[in-house]
Amino acid sequence: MMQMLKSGDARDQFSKLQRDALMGKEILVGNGKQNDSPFISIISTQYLDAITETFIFSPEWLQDEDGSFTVSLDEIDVIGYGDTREEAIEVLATATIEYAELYFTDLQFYFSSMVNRGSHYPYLRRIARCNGSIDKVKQVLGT
Amino acid sequence: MLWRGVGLDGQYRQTTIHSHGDGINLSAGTAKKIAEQLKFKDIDDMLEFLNDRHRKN
Repeated sequence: MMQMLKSGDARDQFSKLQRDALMGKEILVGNGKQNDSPFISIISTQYLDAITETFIFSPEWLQDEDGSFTVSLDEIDVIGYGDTREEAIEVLATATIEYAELYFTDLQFYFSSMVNRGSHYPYLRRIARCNGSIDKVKQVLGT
Repeated sequence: MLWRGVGLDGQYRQTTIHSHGDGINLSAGTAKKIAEQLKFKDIDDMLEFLNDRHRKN
């Protein structure tokens, strides 16, 4: 069973909760005042990274008759293109970073039923963890 | 740069438009991918939309 706490109790014992989370526990913290209030999870970043690293990008390449390249990531619906593979990868990585920034700025919008892009979360979290480094993003994308 | 928006049909769309200054011709493969992302039937459908200012969808 997962440990569940009211926010006041979590605040009082936060140091212990940090140690528990680092040991692999996930702690759920709720408002406590309302039965249907949403919970947040306290979880080790190391374990969350391990979970999201199982979400692998599979870039698909297309070369046109004029020699130019198009590369697409179906996992997050982003494309890149250019006269060379390197240019296409650069465009792809830049667009992916931009998408991750937009996504985490407005998560509720992307999770809404109209947009329905909640499945992109673990992939874009991997991109966000690159902290804007294009080289790291290119590695994550597998390009 | 990402271009995104919600169409008249209520569906969200998003694609990548790479700035090339004065502009270049897109390859057929890239145009096809962009058309897919923007939920056109095909490239011809997208070109028709771009050329017809009165078309709404």
